[in-house]
Amino acid sequence: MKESTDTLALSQEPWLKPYATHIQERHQRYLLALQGLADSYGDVVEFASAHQLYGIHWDPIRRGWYYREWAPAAKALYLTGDFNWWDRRSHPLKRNHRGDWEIFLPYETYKDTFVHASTLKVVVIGANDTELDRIPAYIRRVIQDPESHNFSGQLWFPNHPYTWKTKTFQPRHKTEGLFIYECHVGMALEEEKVGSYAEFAQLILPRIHAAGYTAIQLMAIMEHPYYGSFGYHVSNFFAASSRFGTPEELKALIDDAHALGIAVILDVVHSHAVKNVYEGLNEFDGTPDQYFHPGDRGYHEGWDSKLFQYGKWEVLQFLLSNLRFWMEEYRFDGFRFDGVTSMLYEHHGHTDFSDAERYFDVGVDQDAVLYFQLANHLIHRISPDAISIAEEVTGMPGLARSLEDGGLGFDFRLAMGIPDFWIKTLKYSPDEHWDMFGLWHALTNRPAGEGTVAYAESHDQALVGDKSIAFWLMDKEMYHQMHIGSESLVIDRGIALHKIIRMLTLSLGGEAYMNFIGNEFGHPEWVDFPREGNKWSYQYARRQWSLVDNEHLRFKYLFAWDMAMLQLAKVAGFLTSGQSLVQHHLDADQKGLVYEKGGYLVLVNLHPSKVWELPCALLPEGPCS
Amino acid sequence: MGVALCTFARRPLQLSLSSDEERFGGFGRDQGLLDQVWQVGKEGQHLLPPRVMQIFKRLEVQT
Repeated sequence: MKESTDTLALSQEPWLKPYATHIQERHQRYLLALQGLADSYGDVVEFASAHQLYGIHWDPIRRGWYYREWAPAAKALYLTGDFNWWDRRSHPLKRNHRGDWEIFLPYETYKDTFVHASTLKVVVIGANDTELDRIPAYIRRVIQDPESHNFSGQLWFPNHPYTWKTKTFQPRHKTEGLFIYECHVGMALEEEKVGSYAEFAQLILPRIHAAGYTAIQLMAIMEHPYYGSFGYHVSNFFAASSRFGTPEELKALIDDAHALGIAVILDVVHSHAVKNVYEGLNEFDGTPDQYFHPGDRGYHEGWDSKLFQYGKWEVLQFLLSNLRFWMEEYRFDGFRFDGVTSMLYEHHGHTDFSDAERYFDVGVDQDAVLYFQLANHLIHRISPDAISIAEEVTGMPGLARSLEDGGLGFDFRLAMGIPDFWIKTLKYSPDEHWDMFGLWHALTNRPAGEGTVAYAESHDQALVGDKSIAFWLMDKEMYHQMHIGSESLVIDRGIALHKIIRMLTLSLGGEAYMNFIGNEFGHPEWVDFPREGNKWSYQYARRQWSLVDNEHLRFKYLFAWDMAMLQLAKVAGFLTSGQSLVQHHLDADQKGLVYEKGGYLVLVNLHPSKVWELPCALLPEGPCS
Repeated sequence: MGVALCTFARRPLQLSLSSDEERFGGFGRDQGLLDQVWQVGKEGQHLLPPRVMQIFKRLEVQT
């Protein structure tokens, strides 16, 4: 690490020179924080070990279990559960010398009652004199009673810890290319039900492997009380969602993926948390600002959820420990950080970014910036090849630049403008009016030297209210005209554009590529989880694999294209070669585009009716020479 | 420098993504295709039907 911040590469870029002081100051804050953590804890990895202190742990020396909780303003805590027949006062916690609440349960006394799979809660007498049954903040497993719908913590002491089959695994994205398959375990099956970790490993992983993807990005792993939140209203940050199975079954899924050479990325939600007080962290100790900002700043109206206070060391430690936990306990290979834009700015990105000052002015939450710097430092300390992706839309300078260069240390940013461009084009532009310059700009305009994940569509575009690209292109025709013998112009057009859109996105849009589960074969319709408004239906919370498996339907051709496209991208090194992109020809009227990347010459005719006659003089040495 | 062809279609110069689907789904290197492209190239123009993408690979040749 550089001692001085005066020569940070990022601050030397011409357009950022006016902000060199800001960049140097934010880097200085990071260096100071690292030094502070080194002085107090040894290093950032040691700091990120709160999950080893808080929660429920076996003490081999005293032979018994500790339960510890951070609840500084609470007036009293009592552990209650199956082990004490849910007595609400018999097991009070005491404040220890650190100021944490703590109780010790000797093995000999509790060996028959404090047992695997039994449930528990903690009664918290809050600073506001409320008495609420809560779930321990660092609990590793939470289950829901199918009749009462009540959530409880669950002790998880399996007789035998999971034995990993794959002893070592390192993501190979730097050499092989990062081809991400974004997926959701619960909606991955065709059956109208909640899919399981085990079913995903058995039935879906082989499909992903055969398709050529090199990473899966798992949504909705962190426990969330409302299935329909798509996993984004997290209540229990250290618990893998029990609605899909056991911790061992999730580990087996990850193990199987690794055995296939597939990296596993967690869609980690540190941008917000469910507002529920019974299941989540909100007002845990009876104050509004234990984990979250008090008042309006602690509430995201659009998401109806709570916003973390990243400037608190205890919160920072909670979140960083959470990252370490998922990497070490479950062997995740990295993270896709959700809602980074909302975190980076107090206005959550809802402002005009025409002036670069916005990236550095008072609207920036410097505490969140520091959180990301430390988070990226931490995860790459744990695994140098870890994958770190930011869901960020404003173009924060240096977001995916190295920390040493003055960046925030992400490996990649999501190219959120690309799916936006495609959806707008499909919604509002007739084919003959497609904006070729806009297309080129949307697919190629990104910060130099920063990794970008290109994608034509993700789960966001598939959500109810919107629909998949295939459905935008072909809509109801897909119900009756996908037979291989059909002669539908709508389907012909849709299939052609579906293929070209994906190839353009992959070859032009970034240094990594992402696809949402099923969209590689043009999954129709949209995604809608069971909810009251749809009479709790699973009709749209599943993937219809039978469509692509059916020999008589044209979905198989879309899948074949996707598979061949990935194969070509690997051979050509589209994502890894680092070769420059050269545009040789762009004709806005003819809808023509010729470019060269990775030693390949790509010719595209997007015109709906005209055959091109491309003069060879416009081409580089190659097909015409 | 020579030219090699790498295309998603078996009939590169008639490639239509909206029909002939059974020809898609793989790309390969085929000397016949190379000759075909080479010949068309010498005719001084390159045809590209509507809604089509073609991909060619440059190949360094030892001389």
